[in-house]
Formats: sequence, C-alpha cells, structure tokens
Amino acid sequence: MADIGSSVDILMVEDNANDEALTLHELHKYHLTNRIQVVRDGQEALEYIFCTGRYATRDIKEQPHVILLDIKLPFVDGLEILRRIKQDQRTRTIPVVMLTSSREERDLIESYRLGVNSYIVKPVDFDQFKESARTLGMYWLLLNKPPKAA
Amino acid sequence: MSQGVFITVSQYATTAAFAAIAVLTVRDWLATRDMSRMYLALAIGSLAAVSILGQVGKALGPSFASASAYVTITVFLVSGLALLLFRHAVIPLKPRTLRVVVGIVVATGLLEIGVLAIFGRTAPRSIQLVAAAAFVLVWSGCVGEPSVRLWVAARRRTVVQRARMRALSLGYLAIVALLLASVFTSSLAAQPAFQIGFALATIAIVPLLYAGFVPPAWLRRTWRQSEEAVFQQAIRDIVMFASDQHALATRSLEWAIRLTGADAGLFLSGARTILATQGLASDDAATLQAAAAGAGGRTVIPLGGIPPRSVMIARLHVNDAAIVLLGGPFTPVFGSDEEAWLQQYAAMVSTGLERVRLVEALAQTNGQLEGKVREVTERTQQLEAANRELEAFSYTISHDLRAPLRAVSGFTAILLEDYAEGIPAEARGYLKRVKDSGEHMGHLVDDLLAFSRLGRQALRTQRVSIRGIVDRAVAQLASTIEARQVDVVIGELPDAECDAALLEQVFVNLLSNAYKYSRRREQARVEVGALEGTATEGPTYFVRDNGAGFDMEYAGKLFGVFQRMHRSEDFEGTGVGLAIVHRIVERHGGRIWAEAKVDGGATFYFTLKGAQQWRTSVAA
Repeated sequence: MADIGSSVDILMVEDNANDEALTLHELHKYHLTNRIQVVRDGQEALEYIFCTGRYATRDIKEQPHVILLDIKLPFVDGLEILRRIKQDQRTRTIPVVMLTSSREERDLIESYRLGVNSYIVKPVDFDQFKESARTLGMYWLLLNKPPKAA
Repeated sequence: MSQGVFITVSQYATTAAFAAIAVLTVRDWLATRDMSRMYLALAIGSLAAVSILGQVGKALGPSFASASAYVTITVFLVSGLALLLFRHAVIPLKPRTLRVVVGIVVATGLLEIGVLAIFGRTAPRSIQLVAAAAFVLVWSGCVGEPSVRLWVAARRRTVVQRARMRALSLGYLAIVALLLASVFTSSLAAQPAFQIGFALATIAIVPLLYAGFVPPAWLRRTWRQSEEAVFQQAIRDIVMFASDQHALATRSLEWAIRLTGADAGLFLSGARTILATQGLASDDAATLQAAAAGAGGRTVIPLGGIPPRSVMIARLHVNDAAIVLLGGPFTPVFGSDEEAWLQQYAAMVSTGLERVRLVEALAQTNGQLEGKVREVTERTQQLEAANRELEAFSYTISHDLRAPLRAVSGFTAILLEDYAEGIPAEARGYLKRVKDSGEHMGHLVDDLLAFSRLGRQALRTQRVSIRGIVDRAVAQLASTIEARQVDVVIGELPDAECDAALLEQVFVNLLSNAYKYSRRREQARVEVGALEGTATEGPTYFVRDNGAGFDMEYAGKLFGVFQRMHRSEDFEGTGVGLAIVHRIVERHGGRIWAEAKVDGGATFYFTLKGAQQWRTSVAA
C-alpha cells in the first residue's frame, strides 16, 4: 500500500481480501502495483477520494489515474460512491471502472447512467480474470490519457 | 188521441226494456252460476214481470187486474227482497238482521194481501193509506239502504271499483225512483201529462239499471281509461326503470289491481316463489297459488263463497311468472275485455321482468367478476412480492456465491502456475481438480441465474428471421468445434414472431448440445430445419444430430433443471441448458419435445405458439 498523501496510480475499493489478493497478484505480474491504494469499505473510499476523516491531510488534487470499484461494499455501496464522484466537479474526470461480481442488468444500466467509464464482471474462471486485470491495468494506466485534474 | 197512443207506446217500450234487462241478467247468472247474480236476475226479472203483468192487465180488463193484484204485490216484494239478498251477497248482513228484514218483508206482503182479500178495492181510506205506506217504506228500505251504503263505501276505493260501486248505487236509486214515481202517478194517473212523464222517466231509468247491474265492456273500459294517463307513465316506469324483480312485481301488481278493480292479488315467479302480494288475507295467498297451479288453460276461475269471489290469472312469458288477481264483490267483472287487457299488460310486464332479470344477472356477474379481479390483484401482488424476493435472492447469489469460487479457482491457478516446480505431480493433479470444480460450479451458478432471470424478463417479440438467428448461433459456437469435422446443414426456416435474443439462446443451447453429443462421431452431422405446421401452432423447428442420443424412457426428465442424461465423465455440462430452452419456448406459448435413440442421435422439435396446455395453466 502506498503512503497516505503520496500520489497513487490506482485506487481499489474492494472488501473481499481474496479478490484483492488475486487482482494485486496479476497487476504485480505486469509491474503495475507499485502505486496502488486499497480501501476496504465505501466510507473509507469516500474519505480517501474527498480527503476527509482518515484522509483529511490528503490533497484533493492528487487523484488516482483510475478507481476500481466494487458494487457490494460495506457502509456505502459502489453505485453511491460512483454517483458522488461523478456529481462532484473536482472528481468527475477520474476514470471509474466497476469491477464487480454482479451480472445484474440493472446494476450495469445504473452504472452507465451514473457515468461509469467501464463495467467489468469478475469472472470465476481465473484465466479470464487474469486477462481482465491485465487489460484493465494496461488500458487505464498506460494507454488512456486522463484529462488534467481540475 | 195521440197522447193516449204515445202513453201506450212508451209503456210498452218500458216493459220491453225491463224484459230485455231481465234477459241480460238471467243470461249473466246462467253463465256464471253465481248466487249473487241469481238474486239480481230475480230482482230485475220480478220488476219486469210486474211491468208485463200491468200491460197484460190493461189489455184483459179489470177482472184480470184484480186477480193479478195478489201476484203483482208478491212479485214486487220479491223483487225488493231479491235486491236485498243481492246486497247481502255483495256486502254481507248479520244473520239476525237478515232474518228480521226477511220477516218484515213477508209480514208486509201478508198485510197487503190480507187487506186486498178482506176489502178488495174498496178498503177504507185509512187502511189503504197504512197498507200503501208500509209497502212503500219496506220496499224503499230494502232497495234504498244498499244504494246509500254503496255510495258511501265507494269513497275509499280505486277509481274502477268506485265507478262500479257508484253505478250499482245508482241502479238501486233508480229502482227507488221508479217505485216512488209509480206511487205518486197512481194517484194522479188520470192526468195524461203525468202518465207521459212517468213513462219517459221509466225509460230513462232503464239504462241506469243496465249500467248499474250489468255494466257493459265499453263502460268498464271507460272506467279504466280514467286512470290511463297515470297508468301510461307508471307502466313505462315499471318496465324501464324497476330496479329489481321485487320492485317490479310490487308495482305492476299494484297497477293490475287498480285497473281491473280487483280486491287483491299476488305476483308469482315459478310455482312457488311469491314476488309480491297486495291486499291478501293470510290464507288467500295459498288459495290463489292453488288456483293458479290448477288453472290449466283457464284465465278466470270462480271461487264462490259469500261474498262471491273469482280469480283471474295472467301468465308472463318469463320464468313461469304470473299475475294472479282476486276479484271481490266490487270488482266490476272479469270479462273478456279485462282478460284481454290483462294479457296485454302481462306482456308488457314480461318485458320489464326480462330486463330486470338480465340486469340482476349482470349485476351478479359483475359482482363475481369484481371478486375475481380482487383475487387476481391479490395474487398478482403476492407474486410480485415473491418475485422481488427471488430477485434479491438471485442478486445475492450472483454476487456472494461467485466470490469464494473465484478465490478457489484463482489461488489454485496461482499455485499451479507460479509454484508448480515445488509441488509433487500427484498434488498438482488434485489442484487441477479443485480448480476445475470451482470453475464448474461457477458455470452452474451462472446458468442457474440465467435460468431464473428468464422467468422475470419481459418478452420483446417482433417478426424476426430465424435463419439469421441460426446463423449467428452457429457463428457463436464455431470456436467450440475447433478442429472437428461437423457438417452443419441448415434447411428452409420460416420467420417467426419471437424474442430474438432469447431464441438465439435456444439455438445456441440446442446446437452446442448437438455438437457436444456428436463429437465422438467421425462424421458429425447437425441439421437445423422446420416442418410445415398447423395454423394454430405455426411451423415446427428442429435441431437434429447423429450423436450419442439418449434413452427415451427418461425423456420426461429431459427439460428439468440439473437433469442430465449422460454421466459427466462422458459429457460435461450443468443440466441447465435444456431447462432454459424449455422455459423460453414455454414463454413464447409453444411446446418442445424430443425424439432420440441411444447411440442413434437426437432430434429436438419446438413450436413458438399455440400450446393450449401452457395457456390454460397460466389462466389457472
């Protein structure tokens, strides 16, 4: 985990330690894990993104290049976090990728309605999972040119 | 001399008129065999006889007149008594009163005859006066009392009954007037002017007697017509606006009674049900019902009794209903005119009754329908609630069940890939099994969720090209065939109304089964086509392979969830694919079945509409 306050490439909001470990394992393989911040629930995610509470000392201008967001989270769910990010002028340009177990169409539709940048269903098949993690990292960190944060 | 001729002619005319009325009343009596009419016939007949005797006496001279005087007195008194008995039949007297009155009449008669026998025509003037006064008083009493009584009693009756009673009253009064006139004229008989006046008055009285005692049909119709204006409005209300059978029966009965001048009546529906009664004493209802039941084709049935009564029945053409009226003493008469009127009236009421019955049936059906709608709404709400629960459940499964599976297959994969060198070969084999099992369970969960989602998704049907769908399905599965040699033959496929995405799922599942079960064939052959169907079911589509087939004995289990026809080491699978196909076909309103032989291939047939069984099961 990166130090508080320092710039990170990826913010990963994931309450499942297994999924976290698997994702990190794959990202690590492609040397993408050096600047990754993991938070375990919705509330912490909001505090991190909006620099409040535990992360009050963080600079809001220093935002990750991409946020990986699970939908089912303790305290505040992923869709709510997405809504807050996309409503706020300071954070709306951060690319958000839903990385979730949910295959429900309504979650997918709601996510896109709220302005998600990508929606990826976590596959059970590990080979597929690896592929997802790899392309995800490559695309959002290496290929995608984010707009300058406001 | 012309005056004498005129008097003679008018006297003859009077006699003839009396005789004519007498004939009418006698005929009336003979027709009805009614006691009261017999009295009336007797009374009028007696008066006619007196009149005839007078004429005969004049013709035969004084000797006959003196001989016939006894007869004249007797007959005249008989006429008074008969009228009183008629009144008794109509409005019964107390037995004692009747006895006293009869006694007085007989005594008077004896007095008159006695005086005549003893003194002849030369009795002292005082005795003559007493005899004459007694005679006039008794006779006038007998005849005058009923007229006053009827006139007074008529006040509270319906129009028709009132008219009838007043007519009777006038008839009686006319007879009194006749007597008084004859008494006064006898003293003044010598003056021709009086004789003429008397003759004219007598002739004028004749129609009154006729109308009073034997009212003709035209007169009875006139009485009814006085009610006609109100009646027209009433019958319209009854026929068109009566809200239920009882209201209709009550009001139509009321008017039937009012216009026929009946005393009472009831409205029957079928043999037993009484919809309405009016003016009936407690045991009369049973009497009327019995009369109606035993009437056969008759419409008027005399009941007899004192006062005499009769029943008139009008049948309605609906529901065996009938209007049954009880005629009392003041009911004019239940003649053919009344029958015709009542039948016509009954026809109108029938229309109303029919309407009311339809309205009631409609209301009942509406009530049932509302009940059903409530029931269905309730069940729909329950189903919706159950559906929401199911959705929440499958959402949880979708999310929570897959996470641990991912961990199982993910970490074993890492072990196998990154730490393979440190693990013994046997252990690697086991790890492989763990990974495969995790992935298999992942597929199970996915398939199951897809299956459960099917029931909840709305169909998006439109006219689509089945050929296009099959081509897409074949393309989608191309990668699974890999290096195998499979002949895919696609025949003529008519377009259909269906949900394209779901139907693609059907063909993907059926085709992947066909590929899977034919993979051990050197020359696998998969055929897709359609058979010409019926108008209700549309074409029958089929997918055929020359693969492993299955035992038809287990065909009943084919479309159940998790039902497998092969061991998993022979052919992998979750047992959900055909269940999904089955559900999609069902949701389109079609049916699906299969023909197969072990090692002889399998053919799956399905239609997309017209499956009656499915429709009824939805309705139930």
